[in-house]
Amino acid sequence: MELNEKVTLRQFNLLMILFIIGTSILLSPASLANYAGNDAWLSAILSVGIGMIIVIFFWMISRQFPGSNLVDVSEQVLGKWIGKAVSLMFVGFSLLSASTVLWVIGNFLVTQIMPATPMLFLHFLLMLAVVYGVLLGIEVICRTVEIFFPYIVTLLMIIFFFSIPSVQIDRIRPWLDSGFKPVLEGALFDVSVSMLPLIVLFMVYPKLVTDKNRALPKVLTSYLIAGTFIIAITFITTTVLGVKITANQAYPTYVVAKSLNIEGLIQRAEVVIAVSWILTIFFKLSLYFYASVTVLAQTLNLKTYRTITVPMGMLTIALSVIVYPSTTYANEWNETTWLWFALTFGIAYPLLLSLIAMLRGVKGRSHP
Amino acid sequence: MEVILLTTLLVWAGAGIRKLRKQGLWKDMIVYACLWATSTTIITLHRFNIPVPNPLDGIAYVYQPLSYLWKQWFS
Repeated sequence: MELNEKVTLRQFNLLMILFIIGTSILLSPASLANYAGNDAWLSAILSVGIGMIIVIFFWMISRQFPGSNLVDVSEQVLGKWIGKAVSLMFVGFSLLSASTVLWVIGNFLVTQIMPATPMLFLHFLLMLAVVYGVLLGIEVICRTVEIFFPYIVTLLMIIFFFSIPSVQIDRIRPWLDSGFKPVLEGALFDVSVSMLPLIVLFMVYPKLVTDKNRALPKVLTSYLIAGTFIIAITFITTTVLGVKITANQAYPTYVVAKSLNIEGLIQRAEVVIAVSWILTIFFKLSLYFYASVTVLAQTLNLKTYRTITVPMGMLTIALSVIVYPSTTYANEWNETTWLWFALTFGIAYPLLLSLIAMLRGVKGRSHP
Repeated sequence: MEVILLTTLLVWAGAGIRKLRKQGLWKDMIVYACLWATSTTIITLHRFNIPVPNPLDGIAYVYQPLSYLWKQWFS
């Protein structure tokens, strides 16, 4: 299967920013406040620091195998059959991640905005857009990112700026009263949610990206922009709502937007957050789904990934209704298992590929 | 409603299979049919409240020792 699409580095960077802030913008403050308490914002800063090391690690891997995507690398390094088996496991990772993200957005809409609408129907509607986007190709998704990026940033900035008058620093004092351990725990969890899934971008970079000159500083800058958003929203939610309320809310950013009141002129701005979140989630979901479809098609040597896009969309919907039976199950699974699941595919998998390639003397081949 | 939805999905899947068979893409057709069969089976079982094994339970079982280690380390 040939992927003849081309993406510019600028488009790739914008896609990366939206992928990172995708679910984090609404969910990270709660988990960080739950782990680190008053130091949630410190935890967010630490997670951005750890994330920068991971970005450099991913960049080194991409330099080791220029012109190859994850499936190419797996087959070059591990051999045809083991490489295919590992690639199929990666399909499982990206497909399950797509299903969980779909459940998260469906759950948000049902619990906060449209309580009478069946969740399955919302999943169908959301996946319809994602499947259509993937059918049109990654080029089209990236161009859509370019169009929507300014709107998403503007909407988030509105919430940030109008929340500043409600900020009370006393709500997050004293700092480091429980020591450094909870800060580290929160940071590691946040890295697993926002950073480690970036491994799916290996289906786009370096193979499909055209201009790779000075890629590292540009990618690091993009990552810092995304990280700044997460740090800012964590700081704002904990200082506006307080740590306990932030930790107890499923979607604290949404609650902050709900509580906004600027002289009675600007009120009930929560839909602003909802719209920007649905947009970022769309891109995160599209990328997970694109990765699962292209990895499966390439592994099985299908003629084009487009033939299996619609049934894979159906499978994502089917899995989304069974993966999380309840919010309690989702929280528990994320706290106990997600970190290890993400570490396996986000760190152990590329690290093993790199080490085995060095030991076997395999060098990345350029693909047309 | 469910019957209409299921019939629509089956007709759509059938049309896709026919198209791929005409083009002679046998491998694509098999993968396509398997994916449709799996997804419609899961959705149908779920709609009739028949329990479907959750893949996340299996993953949680695999990572259980590491989860305990994590809990002990951060407790």
